[in-house]
Amino acid sequence: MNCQEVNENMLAYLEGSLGGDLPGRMKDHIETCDSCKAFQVFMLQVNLQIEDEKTRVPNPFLYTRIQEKIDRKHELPVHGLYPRLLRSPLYYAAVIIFAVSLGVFAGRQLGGLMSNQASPAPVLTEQEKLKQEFYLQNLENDDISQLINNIDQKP
Amino acid sequence: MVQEILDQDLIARIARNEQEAFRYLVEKYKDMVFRTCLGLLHDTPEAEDITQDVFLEVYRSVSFFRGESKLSTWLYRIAINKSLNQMKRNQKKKSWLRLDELVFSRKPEKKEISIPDLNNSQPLEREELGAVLRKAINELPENQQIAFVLAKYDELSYKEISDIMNTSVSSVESLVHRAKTNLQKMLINIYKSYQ
Repeated sequence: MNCQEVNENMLAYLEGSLGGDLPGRMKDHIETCDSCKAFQVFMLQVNLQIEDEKTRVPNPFLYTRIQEKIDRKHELPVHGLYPRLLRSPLYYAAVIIFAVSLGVFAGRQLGGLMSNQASPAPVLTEQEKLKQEFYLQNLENDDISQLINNIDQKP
Repeated sequence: MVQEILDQDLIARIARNEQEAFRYLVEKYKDMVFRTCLGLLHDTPEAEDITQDVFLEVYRSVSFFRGESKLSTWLYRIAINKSLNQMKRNQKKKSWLRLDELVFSRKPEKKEISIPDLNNSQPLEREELGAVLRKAINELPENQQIAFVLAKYDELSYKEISDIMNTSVSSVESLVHRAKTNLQKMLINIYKSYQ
């Protein structure tokens, strides 16, 4: 019997559930092998841990604590979508994304409003009005204007 | 309350809001529920918290219990579900901690499992053994964990386990066998990794 076989059967060996001549062969090997002996100690401790956990009992004031929780009704586990949502990290991520989007949207709206206010329709002075009229009058006398007028006049 | 109260009567009386009946139920089943929670969580304070939650759930939803299964079966199912949820929460917490360590290069607060030189026959600390067990059992698939804990910790028969898990007796047999084989492999790996 080699160490690997011994290791693989250790749990069953310690439980006493191995059949045939396996327990005897395991015992013979463990007695002569230090590493398997050490592994047996480790597995025994794990088994003892299970036995120890099995014998543990809850706090003697368990009922009092439960009763306190019942009395404080708000601490009772509430079922429903909203409380579950509040506990979800996705909820917080969604809130942050919504807040950022809202901020960007509001910023853009506000920016547009400000730019409209910043550049109102230019108020022309008397001199500028005269300049514009002069330009339009000159335009009427242009070659292109004449050409267009000629075309219109043709039958 | 010395006399034995039948489970059906107990349920009916709790539904009528009789505090003494609820107290009797807690006293009767607290060890059983706590043992199951501890078998899955391997942490006493955590198992106590979940045990409280189990009885709170029973108190809150007792009127929905139709009596189609045994009261103990119902309690086992609530205890298992709540413990598995707690394990998932712990797993998530651990992932966030790992991420935190990775991003901020923080060192973990919890001490690592260290296995002393076993050749010196030094006994392992209870805390360390709990961590070894937790690590090994948590690696098992969920249904193998449940079957193993109910068989090993609660010492239930395969028939009782099959009722709780809503499966056949042969499936439970297979689950327990596979759980033990896998657990043995995990424990060998854990042992070798600390050698």
